[in-house]
Amino acid sequence: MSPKREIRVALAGNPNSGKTSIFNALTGSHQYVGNWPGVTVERKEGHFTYEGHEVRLVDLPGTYALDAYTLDERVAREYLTNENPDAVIAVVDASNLERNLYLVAQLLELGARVIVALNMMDVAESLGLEVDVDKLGRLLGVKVVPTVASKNVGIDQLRRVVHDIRSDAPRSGLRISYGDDVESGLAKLVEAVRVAWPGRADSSRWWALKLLEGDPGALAEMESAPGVLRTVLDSIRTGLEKHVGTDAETAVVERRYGFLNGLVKECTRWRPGVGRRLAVSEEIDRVVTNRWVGIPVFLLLMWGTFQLVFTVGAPLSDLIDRFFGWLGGAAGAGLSVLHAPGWLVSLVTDGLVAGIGSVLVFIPNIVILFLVISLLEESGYMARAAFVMDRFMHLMGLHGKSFIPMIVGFGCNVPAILATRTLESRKDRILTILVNPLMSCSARLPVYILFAGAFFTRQRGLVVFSLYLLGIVLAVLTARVFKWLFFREEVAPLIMELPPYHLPTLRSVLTHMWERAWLFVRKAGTVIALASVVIWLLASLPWGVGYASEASVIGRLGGILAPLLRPAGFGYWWAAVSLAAGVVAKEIVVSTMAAIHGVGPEGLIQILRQQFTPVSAYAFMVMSLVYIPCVATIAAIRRETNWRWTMLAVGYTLVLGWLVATGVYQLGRLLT
Amino acid sequence: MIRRIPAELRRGPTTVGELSRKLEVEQGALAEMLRFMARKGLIRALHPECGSAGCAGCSYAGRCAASPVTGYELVAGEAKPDTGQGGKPPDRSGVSARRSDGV
Repeated sequence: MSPKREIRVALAGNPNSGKTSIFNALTGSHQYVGNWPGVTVERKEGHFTYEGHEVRLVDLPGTYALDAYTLDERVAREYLTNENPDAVIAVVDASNLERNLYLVAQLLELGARVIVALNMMDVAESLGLEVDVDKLGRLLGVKVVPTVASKNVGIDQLRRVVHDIRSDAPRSGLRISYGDDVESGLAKLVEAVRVAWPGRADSSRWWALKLLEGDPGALAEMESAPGVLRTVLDSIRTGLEKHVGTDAETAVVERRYGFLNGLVKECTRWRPGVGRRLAVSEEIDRVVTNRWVGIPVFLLLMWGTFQLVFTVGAPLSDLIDRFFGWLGGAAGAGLSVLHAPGWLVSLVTDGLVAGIGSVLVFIPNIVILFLVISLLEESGYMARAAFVMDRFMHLMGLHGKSFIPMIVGFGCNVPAILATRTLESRKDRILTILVNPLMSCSARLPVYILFAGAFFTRQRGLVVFSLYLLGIVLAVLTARVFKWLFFREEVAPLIMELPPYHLPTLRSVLTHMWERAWLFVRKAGTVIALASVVIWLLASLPWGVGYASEASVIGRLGGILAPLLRPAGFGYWWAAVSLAAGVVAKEIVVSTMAAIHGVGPEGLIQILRQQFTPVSAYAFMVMSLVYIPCVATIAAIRRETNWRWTMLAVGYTLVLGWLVATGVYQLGRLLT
Repeated sequence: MIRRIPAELRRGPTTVGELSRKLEVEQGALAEMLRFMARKGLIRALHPECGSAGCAGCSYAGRCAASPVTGYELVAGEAKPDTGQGGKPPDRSGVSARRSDGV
C-alpha cells in the first residue's frame, strides 16, 4: 500500500446485520449524510485514518442480495459495478450465516475484494453455535474478522485488514459450481457476454449469471447489446429449462443456496455437550404451535383470560355500579327539588342513567380483556394463535388465509370484514365475511358478563370462555356448510413466518387499553345514550300508560316477538325488545333491559334471577352471540358484497341463533 | 432444496421454523427462499394488512402493519402432486417484487 493513498471501501450487508453499528464504530463522528443520486435513499459516508492512510467508507443500503428487484438492491449494485471500490466490507450476522452469506457469495461472484466482518459473534455463542472463522475464510477465499460491533470488539482488527488490502490485489476467485448442466450453458453465455460487452471481461461470469437468472437490470442493459446475446441467452435458457426441470433462475438460486448450506455445515458446529441450543422463541414455539398441544394451550390462555376479566374486573365494576346508583338517586332528588316534571325525572333516572350506567359498569372488564389481548399480541403469541387456529381450520377444509379476519373479529366484526380485502379470491372473501359475525366481538361481552355473573357465579369465566369457543365452532361448521353449498374448491396449505417473541412495552399496552376504553365510553355517550332515550320514549308511550308496561308501545312490539322466543326459554316481551334493540349495537341489549326496568346492573341481576333459569340464561347468551350482526357490521357486509349475501348473513344468523338457543334450552331442560 | 418446499407445503400448514428443521436449512435462509418463490409466483405471499383506508374504530388500529405476520400459500398450479418434472416457469407478469420487510 503506497503511503497517503486514499482507500475507498463500501459497506454492504443484510438489514439488521449490525451494519450501522460497524459503520459508526469505524468512522466515529466523521460521517456525512446525503442521498444517492436520483433517488431518496439515504447515502451515508464516513472516513477514518489508520496508520496515516485515509479510508473513505460508503454505507450501502441494507440488502439480502445483489439482484435488481428493489430500489435498495439497484442502488447498492450500481455503486459496486460503476464505482468499483477498492474493497467491500460485508457485514455478516454470525447467528444467521446461511442467509447473510448469500449476499457475500454474490459480492464474490461480482469480483469484489471482500472482507467479511463476522458480526454478532456473541449472539451466535449464546445460541451454542461455534464458527470456524479460519476455515470460513479459506473456503470463501477472503479475510474474515470476528466482531461484536455493539461492544467495539474486533473493530481495530477490521481497520487493520482494510488498511492492509492492496488495490492491485487479485479479485475474488470464488467460483460456485452450478452443476454440469448449468455450467455448460453458462460457459457459452460468458463467451457471448465477452463479445457483446468487451469492457466487462473481468465480470463476464457475473453478468452471464445475472442474464441467466433473468435479472431485470441485466436484461434491460442487454437491450442495447448486439442481438446475438439475446439469441444465445434464449437458446440456453430454453435448453436448461428442459434439461434441469425448472427455470434457469430457480436452478441457479437453488444451487447457490445449496453451496452455502454445505459451506455453513462445514464451518460451524453446535457446542459439544450443548447440542443445538434452540433460541428461546423456537423453544416456546415447539410447545405453543405443536400439532397436539397448540390448541389446548390456546384454549387454556383464553380460559385464563376470562377468569382474569371476572376476578379482577368484578370489584371495580361494583364501584362503578355504586357510583351510578348514587348518580341516579342524586339526579332524581335534584330534579325533584327543582320541581322538574315527572317525565323528565323518569327520562334521566330510568332512561339515561340506568341505560348508560348499565353498560359503562363493564369498562373494567373490557379494559382487562384488552390488556391481556394486548400483552398476547405484543409478545408475539397472537401470531402463534393464528397459526394454531389456521391448522384447525385447515383440518376442516377451510382456507388458511381467513385467519387474520377471524382473529380481528374478536375485537370488532367491522374491521374484520374489511380485513377480508386481503383475500384475492372473491369466493374466499364472501365465505369469510359470512361466518365472521360468529366470532364473538367485545360488544357482546356486557351481555355475557351480566348473565354469567347472575347465574354462574363460580364458573362465570368458564361460561364466557365456552361462548367464545362456541362462536369459533359454529363459524367453522357454518363455513363448511357454505363451502359445500356455494364454493367447492381445494384449499391451499399455508406456511407462516412467525415474528420472534419479545417483552411488551408498557407504553404500547397502555395505549391500546386506553384506545379501547375510550371507544367504549364514546359509544356509551352517543349510540347507547340515544338508544336509551328512544327505549324510554317507546316505554312511556302512549302517554298515561304505566312506564314499560305491556300496554306501552314497546310492550306491544315485544309482545308480538315474545312467543317466537318461548321455545328458547326467554319468551318475555322485554327480552325480545332488548334483542331487537341490540341489532343497533350489541351493548344495547343490556342498556335496553336496564332502561325498561329503570334499574342499574345490580337491580337488573335481581330481576333476571326471578325470570330466567341458568339454562335459559345460557340460551339467551347463545342467542346474543349468534343472532343478526349489528347494523355497522351489516353495512360493512353490504359494502364488501351485495344485498343478496348481506340478507343471507342476516337471515342465517337469525335462524341459526334461534335453533342453537332453542337446542341448548330444550336439551338443558331434559338434563336438569 | 427450493423445489422440495411445495412438496412439504402440500403435507399441511406449517411454520418457517418447523420447515427449516425438516429441510435442515437456517430459518433466515428459508425465509429468503420463500420470498424468492413468492416473487417467482410459485407461492403467494399473504399480508395481514386489511387494506382499509383508515383504522378508525378498529381494535387493531395500526397494529397489523406494525407487527406483520407473513404467510405464504401454494398457488393453484402448484397444488398438484410434484412429479419432479418441473415444467415451464409461471407467468411472472404482475408478480410484485415487494419484500415483506417493506422494501
